[in-house]
Amino acid sequence: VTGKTEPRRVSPEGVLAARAALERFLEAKTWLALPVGIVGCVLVALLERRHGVGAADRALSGAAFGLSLPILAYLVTDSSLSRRRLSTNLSSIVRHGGSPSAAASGTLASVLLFSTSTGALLGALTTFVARAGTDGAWLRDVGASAWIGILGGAAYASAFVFASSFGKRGGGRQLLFALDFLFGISSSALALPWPRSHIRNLIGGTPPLELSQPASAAALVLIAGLTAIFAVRRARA
Amino acid sequence: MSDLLLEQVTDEWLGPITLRIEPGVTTLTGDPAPLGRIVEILAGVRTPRRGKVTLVGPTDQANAASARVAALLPEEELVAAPDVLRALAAALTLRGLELEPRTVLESAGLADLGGRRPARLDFLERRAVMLALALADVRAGGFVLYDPLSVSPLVPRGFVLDACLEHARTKPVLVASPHLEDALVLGGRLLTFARGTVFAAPAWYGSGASVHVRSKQARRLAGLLAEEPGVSGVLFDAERAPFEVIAKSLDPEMLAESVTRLACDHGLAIASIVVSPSSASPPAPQDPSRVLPRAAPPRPGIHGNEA
Repeated sequence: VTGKTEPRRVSPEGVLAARAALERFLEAKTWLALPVGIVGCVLVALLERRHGVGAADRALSGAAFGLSLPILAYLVTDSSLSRRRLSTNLSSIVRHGGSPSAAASGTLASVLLFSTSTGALLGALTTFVARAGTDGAWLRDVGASAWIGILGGAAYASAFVFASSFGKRGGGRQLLFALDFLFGISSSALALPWPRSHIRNLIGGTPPLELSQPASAAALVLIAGLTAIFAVRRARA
Repeated sequence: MSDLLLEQVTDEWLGPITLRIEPGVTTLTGDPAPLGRIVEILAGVRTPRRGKVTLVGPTDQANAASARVAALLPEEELVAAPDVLRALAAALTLRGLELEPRTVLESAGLADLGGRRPARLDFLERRAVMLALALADVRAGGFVLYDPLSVSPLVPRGFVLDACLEHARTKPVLVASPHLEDALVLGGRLLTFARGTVFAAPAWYGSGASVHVRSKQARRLAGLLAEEPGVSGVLFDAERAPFEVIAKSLDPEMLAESVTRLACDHGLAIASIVVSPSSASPPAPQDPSRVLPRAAPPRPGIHGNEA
């Protein structure tokens, strides 16, 4: 016995599901919303820049993370799942004996990849356009906005995939989208479960329940992690 | 040898169904929507509200029907891939089959579809490809096929029939079809699905004799008769004839004895028993709607009885 173990193979159903999600997303032309979102954020950042101090905060909380990020995360989830329930979407793999959890992980990975990179891009670009060259800290802020975008994108992606396991056609994600808009804007306890309130706190807006920024960052990680776990567990439901 | 076993399976349109599908061809007819639901549950793509599906065999596979049952669903979707051949290759890998995707398609006369994009296939083509895959699955413990003969414009009818009969030698092959004529072509055992319940073949589809029993406890009697080993079919219609049960058997004497014994043992009042050879005046079975009324929400009663 040499103690050597075979390298762990990536589950084929996970790869298949990830590829299927990506293919559906590209086929649905949803990706066209990304350039639209980017152009919108850049224009808003330019307008805000002309109004002076706080341009980046306003552009981020409004166009970038307030509007574009949740909409894009919703659209990518919706198209990756073919506007269906999570379990229905995985049935073409599960029926051949593929593990529902592995297949759900693949789908989730695909949606996460797009949402986090979109979040990073929107955050960095918006901050760059709004702040570049205004003071010495602008480069640091571009970096900070990028990781806030990554955290926010991950939270939205996992939450939308999890919510897609509810409702006949995955209508749970529409409800989540609406509730995030409705309750996420407040600063009361009602805002705590929604990514919007924590993203706002991280970019210097009103914190929910006076939470600190590290606490909001942890809350986003928690939302992303828990909803991802539950999404994978509910893949069969 | 293996059996497909449904235990207390309950879902929308389906009453609690307990049914054992043994090796051989079994045809289930009824309304398309509930039939499709049963097929989806057996294929493992839909979890019933209650109950479970088990492949009973040398190694029982509780709730793992999806892995061991080869199925053709009412609506099919291929695994996402650049072309049909690669989609089939992925499905074959998941099923653990060492088959060439091209061979699978060629055997069913679908070689032309190999290079097409799965997303560009139409409804019939998708079903044809998945039927070819299902019938090629030599490792499957059972087969559940929804209306397989409807893809005959693409897949030769003879190929489907031969493959079904070949598999049926050692494995359960359930063909769910809203068309009664398919059941007559395939032969084997006929089940009907109505009002959320699966019934054994109506008495007039088989040979032998039938008894028409009138009783205020007809529902209870039907349930008991369905469990009798010598009874080949039991028909009970709670809406049209709530006080009548028709039972069928090859042996009329044994059938009459069963009815009277059950009535005595369980204290059931019998108003009348009429024994009639089925060949005497068979009702016309050509119109399925007469035999198979539209499915309604399940009712309490003898759900899932089959003989």
